[in-house]
Amino acid sequence: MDRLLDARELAKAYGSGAKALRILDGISFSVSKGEFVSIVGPSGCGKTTLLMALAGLMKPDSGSILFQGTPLNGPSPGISVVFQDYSRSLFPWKTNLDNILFGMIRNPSMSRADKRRRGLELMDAVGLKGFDAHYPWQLSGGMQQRVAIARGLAAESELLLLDEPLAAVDAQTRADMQDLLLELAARFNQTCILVTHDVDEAVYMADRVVVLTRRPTRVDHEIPVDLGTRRDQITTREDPRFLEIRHDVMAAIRRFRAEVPLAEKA
Amino acid sequence: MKSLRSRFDVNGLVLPVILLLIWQVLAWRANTPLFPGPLQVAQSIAKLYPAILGELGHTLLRAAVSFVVAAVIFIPLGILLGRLRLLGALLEPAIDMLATLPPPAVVPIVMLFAGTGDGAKIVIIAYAAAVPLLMNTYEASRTIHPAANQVARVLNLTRLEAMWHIDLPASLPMIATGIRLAVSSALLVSVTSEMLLATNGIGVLIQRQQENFQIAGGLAAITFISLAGLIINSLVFEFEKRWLFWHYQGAGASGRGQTS
Repeated sequence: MDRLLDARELAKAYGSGAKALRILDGISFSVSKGEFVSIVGPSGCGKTTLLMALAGLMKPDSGSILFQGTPLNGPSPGISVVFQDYSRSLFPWKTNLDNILFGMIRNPSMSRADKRRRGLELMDAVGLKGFDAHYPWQLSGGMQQRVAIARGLAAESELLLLDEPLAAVDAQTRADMQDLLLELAARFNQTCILVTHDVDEAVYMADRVVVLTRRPTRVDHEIPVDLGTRRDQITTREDPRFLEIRHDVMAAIRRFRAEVPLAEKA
Repeated sequence: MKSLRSRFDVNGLVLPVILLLIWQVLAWRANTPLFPGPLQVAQSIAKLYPAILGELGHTLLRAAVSFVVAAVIFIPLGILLGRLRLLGALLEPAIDMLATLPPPAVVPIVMLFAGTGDGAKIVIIAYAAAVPLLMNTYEASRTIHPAANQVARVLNLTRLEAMWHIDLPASLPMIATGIRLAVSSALLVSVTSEMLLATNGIGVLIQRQQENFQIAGGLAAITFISLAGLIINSLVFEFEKRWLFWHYQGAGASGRGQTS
């Protein structure tokens, strides 16, 4: 298989000495081109820390990330991120289209007119046709996150990191956005890593689920989601195989929660 | 702060009119040129307005030049200090100290280097305008939400690009507050510096009038400088509303971020 990203024995601790808080404790996994991988784990297991490391925004204490065969040292033009907090990651002084075009700022080969054309195409693709001259604050939360997704796609990066992108939208919007993300990933043949705490979402969206342990976090196990490429909010979620995988992931996560002493839970 | 138009609604005029009437009655009863009433001031305005406008022109020009000098230097410096934490931490105590120094107190020092001409006045006025500009810009750029910085880093922006595309616009609402304070400060210190070391300007005019016991004439000049301040402040506010519409309207809309 065509490896895109290889995380090897990533470790990270905050603080030092006896008070050091070990967050990541040797995380290894890999992602192939075109794959949609979900990373899911119990609450507080260092998912965000892992995502920051994958985005090149944080240097792990040890271990390495190979991206396209070369070590990742800092943010790479080949990796884009859609952040959870769309209202802060979009710029209110830019129109929606300009926010999306901002994602192409490191693409000098494209002319202004081509960028504009592509920006409008992306707005169409995320279902926001006609909102190009509006501002993000004129849109609902779900629509704002669509702008952020379009900006993430605009960079034409090999890898798109999704940091709980749907955590802040309501349940119905969430289902629509899951399908939209899947459709976009297929259409642009976009490799995606989705970090989430929502087990159903992790399984529904992914080709493969990476299950993390509680802190200090390692990879507990991986499950391929052999449900085919076409997913459906109703039938997929009723599929016995879906329920089986969901059971497996949920059981692992609940086991880690049960292992936490009661005092620490509170 | 309201715009000129909305400030001039009828209710807002009641108190000033009452105060003017009381003043006029007191002036009639005192019956001395040392306590002129509004009518005498109006007569002085009618007589002196060409001179007053001329001197006001000198004052406003100096204030404007000084303000622009301060803005061009200290807004970018504030952004730079906010982004380069080490530099900011290094200079912050010095800035805090200079900020509390009253501009007229530096007049003798500036005179040593720049004499008493326009240059000296511009230095002093620009210094007065610099304090609110620098402090507001620095504070705004230092406190930009980390999410915006993460976007900048993920998009591989250079430091300069991040300052131009993100830090500056994100800081504009606070910079605008700094600009309003700086404009008032520049006007104030223009007049003060003229009184201390000028050959022309409205500050000199006010001083001459008062030295010659022309109290009404002094008040006439003060009326003009107040009106100028009011108009300039309103203009600044109009510009602010036009350029920062996303801040004012966006803040009102941010509460509905959760639904679709």
